[in-house]
Amino acid sequence: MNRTTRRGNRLGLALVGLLLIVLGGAAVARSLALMPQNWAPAAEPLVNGPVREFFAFSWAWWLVALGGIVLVVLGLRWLAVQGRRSRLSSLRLDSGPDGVTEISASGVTEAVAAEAAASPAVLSASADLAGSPRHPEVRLRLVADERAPIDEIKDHLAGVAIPHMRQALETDELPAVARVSLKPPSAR
Amino acid sequence: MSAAPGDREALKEFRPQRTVPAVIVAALLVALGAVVAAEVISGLFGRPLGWLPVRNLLEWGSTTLWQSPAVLIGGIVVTLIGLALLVLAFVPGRPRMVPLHTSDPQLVIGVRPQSFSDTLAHAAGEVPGVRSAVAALRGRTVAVTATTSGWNDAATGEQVREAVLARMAGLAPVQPYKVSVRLKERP
Repeated sequence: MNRTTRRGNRLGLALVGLLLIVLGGAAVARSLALMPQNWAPAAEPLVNGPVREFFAFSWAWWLVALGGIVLVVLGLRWLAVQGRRSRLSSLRLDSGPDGVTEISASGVTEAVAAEAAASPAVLSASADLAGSPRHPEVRLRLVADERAPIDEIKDHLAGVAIPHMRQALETDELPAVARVSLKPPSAR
Repeated sequence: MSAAPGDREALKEFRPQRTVPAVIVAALLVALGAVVAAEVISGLFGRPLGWLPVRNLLEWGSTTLWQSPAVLIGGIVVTLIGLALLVLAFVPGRPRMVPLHTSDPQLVIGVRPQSFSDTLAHAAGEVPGVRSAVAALRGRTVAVTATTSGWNDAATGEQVREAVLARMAGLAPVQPYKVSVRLKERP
């Protein structure tokens, strides 16, 4: 899945959580008369003189409206990134003097899936590319024989399939994530 | 187990994404912001929408003291919700995959938890004297329940543990799992 989304979700939840703790904590403190009584007395109604004075200005209400709009924009943006699919459909290889080479992702992913499936321990394999065109990432889904030594699969991926993919994409950096399901040999 | 360079990556990769709480909180923010903005702006233009009972709220706020129990309880509830969100944000959560050691730091491999426990159960089931076995992941413990014919349980239990540990060592998970074996007799 998408790392940026995961980080963003955790950051967003932390910020909202922190804000709620500060607001809730302040309300509790004032309610229990833990705040300086000459500044924030507990025996005052929520809407008292100073609050009324502040909201007598019409710009105060505009400020509230602006706050609401900011909330809507931030919330919508946060919702929008949830559906962010990082799957790539094409890749751009290093552009030379005579133009840019674009290759389709499906050719590359089919090749790497076929190569992964060539290991006797792997029953079936599929792949796609994620990340950005400049920093692609391989995502593999493998079904493996549970009795086969998993080292064989690891070595095959790290020693054959991924290096070939790096060559094909002309890159030294190519993170790969493999999700493996194991099946007993009889369930083929 | 020694920490290979790829282990941290593997653990991070399979951490939960917190999509459900994020969607709920984001949707609530949008709803709250939209209602407040619409009500306030329409009020500023002299045609309040009336979505919010502004008059009643104002009256309640003018008559309720800060020290009233309603305010105290409300504040406590808000604080607790905030704490819950912080926990969701900072607790790593159960990984959706069991990450495995790899020699290549750029290669991350994870096994589906169901596959992981199934294969361990199959390993236990192959021990002589075991009729069937099931395994379940409980936190960082693999709980194996083996049904045996019951004639030599002490030895069988140890063999089941060894078989499970051997299969697990073959998979080489990044985080070690404890194995607990329970035998059920059914002659």
